[in-house]
Amino acid sequence: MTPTALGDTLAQVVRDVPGVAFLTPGIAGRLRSAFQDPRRGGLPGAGVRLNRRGDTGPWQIEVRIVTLAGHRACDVTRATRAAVLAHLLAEGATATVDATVTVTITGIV
Amino acid sequence: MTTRIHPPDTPPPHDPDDECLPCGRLLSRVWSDWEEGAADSHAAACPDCTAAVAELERLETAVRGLRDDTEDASGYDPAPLTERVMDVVRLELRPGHPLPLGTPEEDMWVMEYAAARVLRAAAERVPGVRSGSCRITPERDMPGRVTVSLHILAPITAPSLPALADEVRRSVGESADRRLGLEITGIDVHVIGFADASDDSEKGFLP
Repeated sequence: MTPTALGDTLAQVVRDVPGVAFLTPGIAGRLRSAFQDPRRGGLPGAGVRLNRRGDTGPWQIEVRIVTLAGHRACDVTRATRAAVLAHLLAEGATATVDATVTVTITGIV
Repeated sequence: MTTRIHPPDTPPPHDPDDECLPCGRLLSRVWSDWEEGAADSHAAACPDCTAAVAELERLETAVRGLRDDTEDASGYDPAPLTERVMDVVRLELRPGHPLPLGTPEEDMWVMEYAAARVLRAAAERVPGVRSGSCRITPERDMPGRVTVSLHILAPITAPSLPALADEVRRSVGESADRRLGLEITGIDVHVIGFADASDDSEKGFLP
């Protein structure tokens, strides 16, 4: 699976986590938000960044999210992290064992 | 010599942008005939040509509306847009630093700006208190833990400032745990002034 395709898939996985309002848009997405509701998806892969060393190195995945105020922030980040790792395992992505997942809440709405 | 301001009656057939209606007429011709009052009996009876003319009329109405709105700019208030843009810029430039959530191995974070908003709101749940600057700093020697420094305006009727500070501390600590999950080692409450209970203008002040 290409990084772009995996990023898009993980973005959907993260959006489905209870307590996640939406993925953090970039500055262009924020300014455009008057016309485009980020909760409807925004740009594919927005808020999820993937890196890996070479073609077979472990994934380094950064997820940036905005959470809902009614949910405990720590629990949402933990569930998000678990969902990402579970998806990687289910997909049989290479080097999943060493994958690192960083989850950051940038806003609470 | 004349200046052509409309598309030619019969554009080149290879023009990919010129739509051919189901009745066989080109959209450009139907529109130009209507604008020039040259519509024939076919155009008057054909449902495809009639629908195409109706679309053009709707478009012209919308353009006229936009033009009229623009000419009367006195009622346009750019302030909300400006504030929105500045909020975005501030957030992008000063999101604060990431604060740890959970254990260090979990690699989970919340940006200071987002967490501070929650804690400031918690302080303001104490009656009469107005919250200001809220800094949350990771503990150097205790990974995964943070300290809070909060500025408040106290209600002028507060009988005891130490008791008020304790109440603020309890509310902030409870929110930090229940709403965020931050591990807090200390909450410093700085009473930097008094707020008139009847005046909400200082709500959320940022000295």
